Amino acid sequence: MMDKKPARDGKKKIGRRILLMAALVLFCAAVAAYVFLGSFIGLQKKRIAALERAVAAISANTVPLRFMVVSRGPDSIDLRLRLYDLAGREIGMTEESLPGGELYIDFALVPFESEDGSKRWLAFPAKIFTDSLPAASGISLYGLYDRDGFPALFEGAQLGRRERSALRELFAGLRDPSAAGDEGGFGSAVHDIRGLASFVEGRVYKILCRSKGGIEITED
Amino acid sequence: MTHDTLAAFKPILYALADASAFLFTTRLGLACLGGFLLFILALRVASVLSERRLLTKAAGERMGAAASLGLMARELAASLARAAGALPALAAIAVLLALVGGLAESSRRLDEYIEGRQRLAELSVTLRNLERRYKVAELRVDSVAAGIIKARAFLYDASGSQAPARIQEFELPGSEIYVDAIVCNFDYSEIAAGRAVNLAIPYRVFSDELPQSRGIGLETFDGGGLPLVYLRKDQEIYGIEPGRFRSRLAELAAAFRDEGLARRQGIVRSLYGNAVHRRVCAGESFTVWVEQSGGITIKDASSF
Repeated sequence: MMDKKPARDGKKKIGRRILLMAALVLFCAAVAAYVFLGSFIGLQKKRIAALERAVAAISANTVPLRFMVVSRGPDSIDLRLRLYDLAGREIGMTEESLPGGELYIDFALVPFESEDGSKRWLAFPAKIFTDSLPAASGISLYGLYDRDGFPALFEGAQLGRRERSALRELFAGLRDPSAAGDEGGFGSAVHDIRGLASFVEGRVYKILCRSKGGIEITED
Repeated sequence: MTHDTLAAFKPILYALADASAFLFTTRLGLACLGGFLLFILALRVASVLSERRLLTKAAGERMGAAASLGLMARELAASLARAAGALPALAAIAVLLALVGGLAESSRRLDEYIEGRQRLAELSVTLRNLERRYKVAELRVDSVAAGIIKARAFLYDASGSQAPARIQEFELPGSEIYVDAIVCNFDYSEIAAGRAVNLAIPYRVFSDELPQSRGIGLETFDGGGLPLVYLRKDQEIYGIEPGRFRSRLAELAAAFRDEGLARRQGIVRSLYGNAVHRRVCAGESFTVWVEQSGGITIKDASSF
């Protein structure tokens, strides 16, 4: 009986040591996981932020133009059109009466590289015409935002000297195509469709220009 | 099963870790703990005093202030001695609580890491879907002479096939070709999640000198109002499950029938006409794309 007590005490000591070791190992594993995961999470957050910026950049847009069909005749359209710079300030306005049933608002799209190396497509409102009026006879819009050779559409943003000079050159090329080379651009005329998606009289529409070159019309 | 079991223990683990962190690492927690211990001590002393008073009263005697103070001091000393004796047990409890706290924080970090991976996967899919573009048409200019453009239009649909759905030849007066299309942009959430793709149906070509009303129709719709270029046999549909392709057609047809309804349902972001155009010369070709970020564009102009 006396011999059993030291044996029991010995077993208890061993048991306590094993428990202590297990607790120590678990604690070290938890600390290691905490430290390593911390650095992975830091990298993850950077990647998530970069992807969110990229998604925002793709869906970003500018609104250089708003318009309203004031009235429609059997074969005519009365239109009011306003132009805006990048800060949303109005820089030009015109009212026109055109023959036809579908209104076309034409843009010149040109690829542009900013000083920070980012590339996007710039949209310049070019002219308005209709389904009856050929594009060559359309009404030019360039004069509405020409400020001594600089397109006022791009005021209201922080532009470097090189960017301003490049924009001036681009604009000059658009106004005088015979003097310009092929910049890889194209034209895009958005319009309503009789019987499917006509512009409603008195309703204001805005034109969204996407960084990848697409143009959309939506109600304002 | 194991994951569910572990998940069931998490609330308990987090509650225990948060409670011990509060009690031992914050001023308010320490004040609460100290206050509680003092309260227990005060209860113990009050209980001893009360018991002694009752005994003294039963013996017909009165307990004086000095006796009460002495009893309080003795009980305080005895409590401190008992606490000192329990130090090894208290240390073990402290180690256990530290372990629990460490496990809880590691578990939280693991959850954060897993959520981060899911978010990365979602954003990657969103970006991929928004960056996509699909070919709408390819224009090949055979000749430009005496003010007349002779060209061919190769029209594509959203089935993913590399072969055009339709080829049409035409002649136009002028120097610029206008490719006119009906454009349907779906809601961004639909595009980003891959549930919808923006569509463009080319239906007419005209030029800088020929007005749209006298342009050349591309014979794109059947008598039922469905775009011809989308009427593919199942075996001609690539890259998309035929049932899904047809449901997309049905969405488009519904949008065409009732644009207002489609907008109110939040499916269609915008529906309008878009004529993309370019000055051309003989031997040139260019491609019209529908961008999933919205609208149609001309890119990849080249000579063939």
